[in-house]
Amino acid sequence: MKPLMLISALLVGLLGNALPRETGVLAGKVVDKKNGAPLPGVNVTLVGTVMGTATDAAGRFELKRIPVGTYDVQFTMIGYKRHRQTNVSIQAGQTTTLHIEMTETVLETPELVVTAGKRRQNISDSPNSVGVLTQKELLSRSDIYLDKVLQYASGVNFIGSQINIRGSSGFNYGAGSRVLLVVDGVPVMPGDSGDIKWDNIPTTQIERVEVVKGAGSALYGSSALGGVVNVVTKRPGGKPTTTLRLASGVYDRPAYPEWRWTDKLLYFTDVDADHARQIGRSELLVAAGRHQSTGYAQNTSYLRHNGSIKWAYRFSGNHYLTAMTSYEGGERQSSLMWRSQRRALEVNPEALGDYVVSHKYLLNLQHQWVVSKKLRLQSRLSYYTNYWKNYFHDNLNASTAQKPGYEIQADWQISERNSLIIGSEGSWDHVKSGLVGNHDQHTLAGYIQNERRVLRNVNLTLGARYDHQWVDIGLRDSEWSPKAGVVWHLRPELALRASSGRGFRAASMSERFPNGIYSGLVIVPNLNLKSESSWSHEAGINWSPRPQFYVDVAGFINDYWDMIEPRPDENQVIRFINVTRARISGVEMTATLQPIKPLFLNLGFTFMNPQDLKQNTVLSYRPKSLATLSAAYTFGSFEAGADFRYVSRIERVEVYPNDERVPQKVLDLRAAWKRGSLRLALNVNNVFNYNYTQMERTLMPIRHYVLSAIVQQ
Amino acid sequence: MKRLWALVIFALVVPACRIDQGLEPTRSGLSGTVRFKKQWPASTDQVMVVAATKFPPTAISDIVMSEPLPTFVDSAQYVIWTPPMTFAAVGVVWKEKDQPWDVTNIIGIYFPTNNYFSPGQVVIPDKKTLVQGIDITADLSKARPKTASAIQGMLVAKGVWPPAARQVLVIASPLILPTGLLDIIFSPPIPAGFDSTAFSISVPPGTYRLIGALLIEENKPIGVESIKAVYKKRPSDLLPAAVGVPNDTTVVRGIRLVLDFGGTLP
Repeated sequence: MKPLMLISALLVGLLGNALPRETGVLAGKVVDKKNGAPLPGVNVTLVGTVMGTATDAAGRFELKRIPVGTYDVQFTMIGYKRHRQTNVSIQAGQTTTLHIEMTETVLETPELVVTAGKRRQNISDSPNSVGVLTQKELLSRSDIYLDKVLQYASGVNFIGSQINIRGSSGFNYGAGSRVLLVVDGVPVMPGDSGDIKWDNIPTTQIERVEVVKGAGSALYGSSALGGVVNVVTKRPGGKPTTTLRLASGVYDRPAYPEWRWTDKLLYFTDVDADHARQIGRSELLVAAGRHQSTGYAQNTSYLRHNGSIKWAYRFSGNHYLTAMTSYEGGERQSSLMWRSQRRALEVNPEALGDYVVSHKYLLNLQHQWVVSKKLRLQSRLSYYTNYWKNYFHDNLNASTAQKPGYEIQADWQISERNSLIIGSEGSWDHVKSGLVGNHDQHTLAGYIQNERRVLRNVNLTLGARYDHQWVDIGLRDSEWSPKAGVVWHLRPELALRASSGRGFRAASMSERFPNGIYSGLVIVPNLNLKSESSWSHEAGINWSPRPQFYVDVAGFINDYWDMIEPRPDENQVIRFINVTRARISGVEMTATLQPIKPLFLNLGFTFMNPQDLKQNTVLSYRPKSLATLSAAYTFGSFEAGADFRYVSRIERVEVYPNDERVPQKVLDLRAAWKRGSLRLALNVNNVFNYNYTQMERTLMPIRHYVLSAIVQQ
Repeated sequence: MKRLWALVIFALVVPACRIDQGLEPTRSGLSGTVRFKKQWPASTDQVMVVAATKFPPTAISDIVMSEPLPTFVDSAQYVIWTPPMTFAAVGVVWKEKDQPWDVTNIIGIYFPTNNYFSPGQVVIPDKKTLVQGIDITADLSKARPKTASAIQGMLVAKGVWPPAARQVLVIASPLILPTGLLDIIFSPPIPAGFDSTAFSISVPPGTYRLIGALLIEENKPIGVESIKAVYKKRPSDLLPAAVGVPNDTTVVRGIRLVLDFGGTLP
């Protein structure tokens, strides 16, 4: 209890010192300098404090209860040059009004991120590499599920549904993930499988996605071994807005007659709608969607529904409560592997008709209170549950994984040069499963991070997190995850950074407790499984010498210990064991440039050397190079774009090493036309009908055409 | 500067134009007919043809499987589509209902000659050739339903292991002189290099007149000379000792097999 008492005493002390005596109000409007149009969603920050807000649909903002004094106010928004208003005076009981004009910039790089430091910070102040997918990018790619879009993020590749950031995950048969997924800060990894369900939130409900690369356990705990993906959902709006998205696509015929398995038209349809409005002090966002597909291959059809309600209530100027509940569920056919490479779009006859029913619920209550300009308190209570049942020819397993959790966090801006976050997080995984049995796992953690400007242009970050876990079989595990980082702003357009951090991942229940026969293979539990751990080291530079050019180059070395992998014994009985000591080192480059006025290019290259140090070979399921190239051309109300993705051939796999493997070379094209509240788009994905696998014996989607319409009123 | 941009754009466009189509349907492989003899066990779940890059296969990565064959028939055609490679053996594997696959539960092997200890090698020479005529006779009486009965004991190594030694298989046969590989039941492989180790081999009820240890050496086909130990009551005995397994729950313990690398073939 002593640490809790210490934290309470500290918070009470802070509150006592921090409560303001005389306050004023800052209000105003932000518009586009060129045409005077109001700018919604501009981040407004009082520099050197924890206070901030965002503009509403009319471009207006208001910050109440600001202690009397003089401040610098920062305005940031994607696609606009950062604006800093200096020496803004706040008088007691008075409202200071600002009218801000922001200048459009050619580069659409986000200015603020929230994931790397668990608080709002400029992206150039983060000692870790951070990638951001904006709402515009998500919508332009026509995919309703996030994994399909994330494939275009630099340094990211997928093996089936398993995400790899700089080669972290490899492939673990869907058991556990070395990347953590959080939705609005809530970890959404089901306790049974410990993997990521990418259909949790459709892309239409996402404002942006932040991808933090390298070990993030110093703030996020288990699973953040290779990185963190934070999905920030859309904010409830002020002005009543209704958005309707209709999309329909058809799959082309397979490239070879041997692969044609049906004469029927193969298609998919997505219908998504949301409505946002303000009711008194409440802001509301209601969304629903229906997603249906015949699948491009045999036994890959699905019918899914989702719905969500997000409600934000403002008690006072700096005191909010946000509640979000979401549901996603339905049926999805299951196609574990192809019938043969000869019949690559068919499944074995006995698996025909196999399907899974699943339902996922997320409830998230978040309270945010800006106590003073120096102190903000945040807390959340969350509940995530994932239910699934297999209707397979040889398997009728079902599982329910429930995860209630909490987090409290204090952000203390000690001075303009010095900030501290301190928090505690806990969760309880309660699992009833035909796959792993009935088990409970508890996690309690505390974390602290200090960011300090040690020299005029040098920021130092030090932090650590302590996690304690206990499993109902009597197993206990404690992990310390320290981190350190430094950012040196050599010039306004040039910054160097370096960071080191430890990561760990506790074994998931599907690795520790699996028991049964799956696809003819026997899998047995291993109660002695330890957590795996990593150390990530990174050094990087970002440089933007002119508005048309931004480049970021990073070198990294990630060391892994006790990696958990499934291994057959001499009886071909499979169990998960701590087996591998590995190192993945490499170089990554991302660049955004505008060679001619209407043309934007985004480039990303990652070269890696994934080594299995125990076997002295290439680490399995890791490519050595990744490249993404995107081009977008805008001319009046017309947009056109192309995305190319390259993943080098995976040199080593475990299950079917004799199978043919090829690199991934996928080109997508898109065109859109926007008029008033209507946006029409045509996407052609996998233009060259290139055939490849990510997971062994599963052919990835063939060429398909998508027509979509978005209406916003 | 404009030239530089033109170069960058060219560098982006050219690789995209050179995209091939990646994977193609496999058009090479092997095919043949499986002729089944004797009675189909009622507990039969599936039967497949399995081609193994090494014999006996020791991991799932060593094998390529056909689709399941029709069951309770006299004969069936099969095709294994596979990229060009060399298979050390092609066999028919039997699977019991509600049991996992066991690649040692072999009921037929492709033998191109009358040497039933030497499985026929099959070479797929290129991406266009379907090797035909790999016909196999499958003896359904060799199918081994799962039982709790087993023979257990210790394997002891004497002398210096041959450098090419990789694995040891414990074998059991109802015949003193097996007429071929199908007369022999194999244990799961045990990695070579031990001084002594415990073994267990699942066997159906019966009398086993030959219990021994087979050494697998790298790049060396297995044959009678691969048998490096035979179970005898006394070392001076000339003939192997018989071991009875009366019912499907009997576990016979205390069998000691000595691999003597200094000696000659027992």
